[in-house]
Amino acid sequence: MSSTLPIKRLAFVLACLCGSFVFSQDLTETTIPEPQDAPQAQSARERKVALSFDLYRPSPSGNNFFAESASGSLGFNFDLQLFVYKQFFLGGGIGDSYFDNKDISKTGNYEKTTLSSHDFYVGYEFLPLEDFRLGVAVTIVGNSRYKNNQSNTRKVYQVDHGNLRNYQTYFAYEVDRTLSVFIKYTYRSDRTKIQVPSALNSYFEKTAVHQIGFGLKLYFGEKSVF
Amino acid sequence: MKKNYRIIFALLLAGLVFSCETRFEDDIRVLARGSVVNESGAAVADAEIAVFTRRGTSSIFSGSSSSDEFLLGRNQSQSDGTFEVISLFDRDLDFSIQITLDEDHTNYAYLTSTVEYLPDDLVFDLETVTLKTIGTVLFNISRISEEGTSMAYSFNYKDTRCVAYFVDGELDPDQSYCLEPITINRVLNDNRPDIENSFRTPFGTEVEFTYSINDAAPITETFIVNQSTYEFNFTY
Repeated sequence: MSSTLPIKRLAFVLACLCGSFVFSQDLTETTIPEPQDAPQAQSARERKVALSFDLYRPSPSGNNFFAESASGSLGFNFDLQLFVYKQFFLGGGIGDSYFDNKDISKTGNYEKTTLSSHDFYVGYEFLPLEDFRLGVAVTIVGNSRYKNNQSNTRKVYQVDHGNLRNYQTYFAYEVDRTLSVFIKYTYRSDRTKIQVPSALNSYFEKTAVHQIGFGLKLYFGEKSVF
Repeated sequence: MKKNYRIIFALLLAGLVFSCETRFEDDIRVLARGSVVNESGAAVADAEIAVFTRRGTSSIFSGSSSSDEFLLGRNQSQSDGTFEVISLFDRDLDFSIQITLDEDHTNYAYLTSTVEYLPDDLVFDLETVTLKTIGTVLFNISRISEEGTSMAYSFNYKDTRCVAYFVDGELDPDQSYCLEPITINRVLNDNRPDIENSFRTPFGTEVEFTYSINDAAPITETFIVNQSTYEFNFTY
């Protein structure tokens, strides 16, 4: 059974929860309490849901086949965060990133790789300064799919799969109560499912990618779920 | 009704387009390894080792450009002659590993069906492969005798191609073809009394030249090709 199914279900449940919380807000409630002291100020900055989109440049690293062959060009992510308790959140993300293959002798014959990922993560958002948010998150479960295309025609291809773990941090500036802009760094580590001769095990079993990018985030709601 | 036909046609067309995709095996790499030497046993560097699924359009040595769609992996031999090729894998009747150096050396191809076969250790070990230098025999046969004299001749020599066919990892001699003897023959007469032509054969090949003048008993001469261009002149 594919491990992607539980993630899709979790993402679906998360999306439903977020939707119900967002749309269950009392639209007549327009008054935002003014912060009077630190706990109250923090409470005033609580949110229920965040949606974000970011672009990044992926840079493979380490001593593995991907680092020695792939050259990253661009990637993007969509993320949905649900603040469960104060600044603690659960999140789900999907995204693609694109690579050129510089050395087929390390990988087999293909020119380009589209790396698709989805993961489900847990994190915390610090409020270090007024108008700024610092988030950290780690993947609980995630999957990656490397579609290796022999050419731009995409007619001839091969697919590798892996289990994904992301360690991400972002620093966001609140433009207003809803909109934030952020920079984000992610270290992703994949444990691949590629069968190889035993001599190549260590070379193919893991990949690592640094991702640095920026994006936009929309916050909704005024209280965490609990 | 006409509308229905159009929809069916569109669906068939879409099916045809998407069925043209080729997808190799997921989540697997194989390794082809071995070493390349010449006829003297010396290491051969920079030989190209290419792993293919499905043969090229006409023959296994039809050239990489026409077959790159089915190229699974490629690398070159090192200065000590050894090679390792990390390759994708495909289940196919015509899985091949081809070793080529240049036009002046023989080729080698490892052929097998991978429909049901995959080495347990995912390694195709070709061990030691010999690529022999090829010599070109330029032969010139001319008639100096009187008109009406005819001559039948033949050259027996070795071909430059080597295809080793394996079944479940074991060499199958019946389906293999490696530097096999080859014969060319012709009759020279008043219509064409002289000929100038050439053929290619590996170094060290003993070439047999057999001729018969005016249907007399055939006579055989031999010579060994040991230079890049061997000139053979004969008059009758």
